Amino acid sequence: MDCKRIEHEEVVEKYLAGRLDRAEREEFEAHYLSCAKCQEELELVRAIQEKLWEKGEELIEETAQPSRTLRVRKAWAFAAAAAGLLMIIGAAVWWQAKGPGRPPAGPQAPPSSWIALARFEPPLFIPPALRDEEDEASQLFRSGMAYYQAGRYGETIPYLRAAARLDPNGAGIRFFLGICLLLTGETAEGIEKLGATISLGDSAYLEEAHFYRAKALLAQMDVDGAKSELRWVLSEGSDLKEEAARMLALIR
Amino acid sequence: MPNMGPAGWASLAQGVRMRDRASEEELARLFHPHLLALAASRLGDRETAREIAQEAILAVLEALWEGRVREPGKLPAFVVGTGRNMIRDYLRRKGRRPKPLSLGSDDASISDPASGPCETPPLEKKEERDGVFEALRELKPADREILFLTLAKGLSPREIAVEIGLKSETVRLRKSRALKRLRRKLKSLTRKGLLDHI
Repeated sequence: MDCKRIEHEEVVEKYLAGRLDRAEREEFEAHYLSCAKCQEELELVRAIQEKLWEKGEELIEETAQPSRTLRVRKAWAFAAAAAGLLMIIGAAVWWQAKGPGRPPAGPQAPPSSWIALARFEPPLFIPPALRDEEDEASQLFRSGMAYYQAGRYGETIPYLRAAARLDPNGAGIRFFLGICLLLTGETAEGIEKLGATISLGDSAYLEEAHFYRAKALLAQMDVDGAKSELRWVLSEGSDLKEEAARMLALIR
Repeated sequence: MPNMGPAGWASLAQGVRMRDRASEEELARLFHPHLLALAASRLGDRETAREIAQEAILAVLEALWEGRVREPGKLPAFVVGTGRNMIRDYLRRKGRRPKPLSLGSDDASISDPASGPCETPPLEKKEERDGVFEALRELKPADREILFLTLAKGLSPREIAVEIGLKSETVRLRKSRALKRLRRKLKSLTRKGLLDHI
């Protein structure tokens, strides 16, 4: 490894961000520990990293307006693109189902309504009554859910992940972790966590896990998967039955 | 890379406290390069720098295992503080002062620790530490955010591009320009003796 390659491949930033593999890391260390120029560069970027760890969020909060605006614009652009894609695919599915020579199908919901069907309000969380002695997983869950109740879903996730590691059978932990992942755009992992909630078997979160998984699958345009989850909810006759029936009717 | 805001650091600290092997490895992966760079720049001796970085990681792990970290959401400050203390202790034991930071110098190589004490005394004042903060503050907000996501959150240009809605090439370019600006600014601060703050 030489100075030119280090500069060209942005090795210093990758090194400090922990994005080099072991061999690259060792190669870079062997170089910079005997190269004053690279060590200076490393020290400069290290000082910046330290300050960003310490005050980065404060700096971003202070004046992040332009890029936030950009992000919001991008989010809208993405939503519009997703809506467009859903409509195109929906139209294609509808056209195929209807197809020439086939008998006219029943009333079809416009595919754009799937977007509305896939949306959901964060499920209500009612904190359990405090017990005398809480284990560590419960403490983490409680701390995380305080963020959830404040609408800070991204900040809830690390707590619930840590709680899930400690309590592999905690259905509530997995359910709300799945929900938070969906709410922060990590749809595939959210679906997986809701699936994990379901695979734990009977729990207070079983029906809701099926229901919200159906919505997430619909967001990913997995209509068959969504239908299968909704049928399960219907078969159980829960509070969510009516909403599940309405959704099924619209995506049929 | 996990989202390493205060909650993420607290979660990592919690994982280490629970003796979760993956969390321990993650902590070492994230902080060892930083500590080694810190020690190397202050000591100028590669072997000692390696030892100090290693010892600092172990000291942080022990502190977490024993629940001695009072503010786990501020884990980076704790880690860097531990590294600094160890470097200071080492220098005190050896009766040496830290190697002066020499951004922009033409030094051909790292000085030999046996060559005697360095001349520059350590700088501790708050306003000196704030030189980097002020330099960051003078950047355009979008450039600052790109640097934050790169160095504090460990995201790649491609991930940042998705996050803030720019092309990854643009992210790379803006990051490179921002670092160039900071380099210029901080070199002038260093010449005034405002950066080295061990």
